[in-house]
Amino acid sequence: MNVQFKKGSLEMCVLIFIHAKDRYGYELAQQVSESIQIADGTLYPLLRRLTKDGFLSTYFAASSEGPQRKYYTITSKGKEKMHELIDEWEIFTKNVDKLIREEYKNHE
Amino acid sequence: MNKDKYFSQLESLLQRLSQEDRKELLYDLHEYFETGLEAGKTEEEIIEELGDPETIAKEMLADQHPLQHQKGPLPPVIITKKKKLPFYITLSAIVIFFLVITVSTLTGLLLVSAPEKSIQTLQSQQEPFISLDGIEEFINDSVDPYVNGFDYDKYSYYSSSEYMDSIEDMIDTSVNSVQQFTDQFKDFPIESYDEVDSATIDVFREETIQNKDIENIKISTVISNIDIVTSEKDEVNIVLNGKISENIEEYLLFDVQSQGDTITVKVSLNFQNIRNIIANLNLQVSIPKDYNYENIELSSISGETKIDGLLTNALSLQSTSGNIDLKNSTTEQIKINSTAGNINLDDSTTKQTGINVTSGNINMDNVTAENYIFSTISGSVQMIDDTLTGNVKATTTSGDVQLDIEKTIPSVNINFGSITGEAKLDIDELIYETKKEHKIIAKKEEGLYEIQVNTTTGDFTLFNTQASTAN
Repeated sequence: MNVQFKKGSLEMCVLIFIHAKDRYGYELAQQVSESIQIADGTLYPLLRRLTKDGFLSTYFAASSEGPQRKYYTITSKGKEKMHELIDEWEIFTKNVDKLIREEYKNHE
Repeated sequence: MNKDKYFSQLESLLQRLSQEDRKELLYDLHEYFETGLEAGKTEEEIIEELGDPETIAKEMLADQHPLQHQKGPLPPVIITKKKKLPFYITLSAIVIFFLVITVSTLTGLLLVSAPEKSIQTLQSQQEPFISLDGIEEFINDSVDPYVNGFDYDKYSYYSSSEYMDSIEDMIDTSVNSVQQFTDQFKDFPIESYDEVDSATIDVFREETIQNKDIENIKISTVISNIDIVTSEKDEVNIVLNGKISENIEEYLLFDVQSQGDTITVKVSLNFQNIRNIIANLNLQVSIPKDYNYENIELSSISGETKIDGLLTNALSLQSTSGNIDLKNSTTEQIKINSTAGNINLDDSTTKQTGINVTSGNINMDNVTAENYIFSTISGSVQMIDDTLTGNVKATTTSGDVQLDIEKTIPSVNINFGSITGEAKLDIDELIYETKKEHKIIAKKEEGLYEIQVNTTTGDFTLFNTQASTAN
């Protein structure tokens, strides 16, 4: 998949995944990798930035497997950001789809 | 590389980060390592998944605001200088100005060179200053953290159903090749038929191949429909016919090759920048009936692709905007990629079906498969069948997903997740584990098949005709 597409959507996808469920890093990396292929390590700088910007916060808790893990959870500011990004994304993809349908398909 | 070496390399690369950022990142990566080891992976495997330290460090340095870099000589020093120096410059300029006026008043033109010199000195001091924006741009430009991210092999660790993932990988790969194919012809305008009025000429070209060893057929076309049919004859017959603008007829390429066990058919126009042309062509490929092929690959830009009665092990279809219709066919594996065309599959049998579209809709009517994998952005997915024969995994952004099961619904696990989309499950005997507005986990009996639907805004409907009639 196009690298620029991935870059543009990764932040939104991460917020969506954490919004669905609090997750620790490893678990999140697995989830993200299922839809967007990235080097797992590059997820952490993004998580750090989102945390510093107040969109995510972290807490420690025992995982289902036993050991303590650092969990990421979405803040209300993060939810706002997520909705904002999804709205933007939808308008964007809708316009691109429309462009493909109207400008491309009808003029072959 | 082992874990210790990995971390020492990473630490040395992160010198310029703030202590807190560095500590947090290293903690996270250590935790990732521990979790990976607990999951039974080797250090090498984990390192491979994480990506190389340089990529992570670059991304981290680019992603954290440079103002917060507390260590290291480059950005902070410059920021400090940049903030303080204008004040010194102003101050010294004022002092020098008054000094010069005073002194020059007293001593005439002798000292005129002095202020010039001072200004020159200041200017030369300013030269090494790099603006902060420049640094950010520089760092951002030099970072491409996903270059190492195309690691298809690692998928297999992650899923209980490796085969499904590998099909998804193949879809991804094929999307890239469709993209390349499209790019190749994007400067290739072909106007719609109705808008032009120029002289046309009939085209009829034909090739017949008698080759008993045919296993693979590859067809690519930029300006014709593709029609695959079967016949009683023991030969492969390829016919290109239709109408085309007179002036470009000589540039029409129809190339058929038969080499070893492979037939390759190409239809293209060897002419650039063609406008106002008419190209209404059909490529019919007639193949022997009931012969089981190994691999059939078709790709088309805008023409319709129609297939009837095909028997093949693997079938791969690509289209940019043309529709794809497949019926009465039997294959082990179907991969379909389309940008805007609709996909219709009817009365066919397959094991693995992977369909990936951007805006086209997917419609399946009476298609038996063990695994169905659908991925769309805005296109909808609709499946109609008497019963369910396999696992369904559908991922869409805004497209709706609808399964209509007309008779019996077998035992299934249903997992639906969405951001704003909703699910309507109209079937009996469903036991809910989670039943929220945008998240449903439910099962019927012991859960023989999996239905997994993920959308962003698309809705999911599972409808059982029999049940609703009975009710």
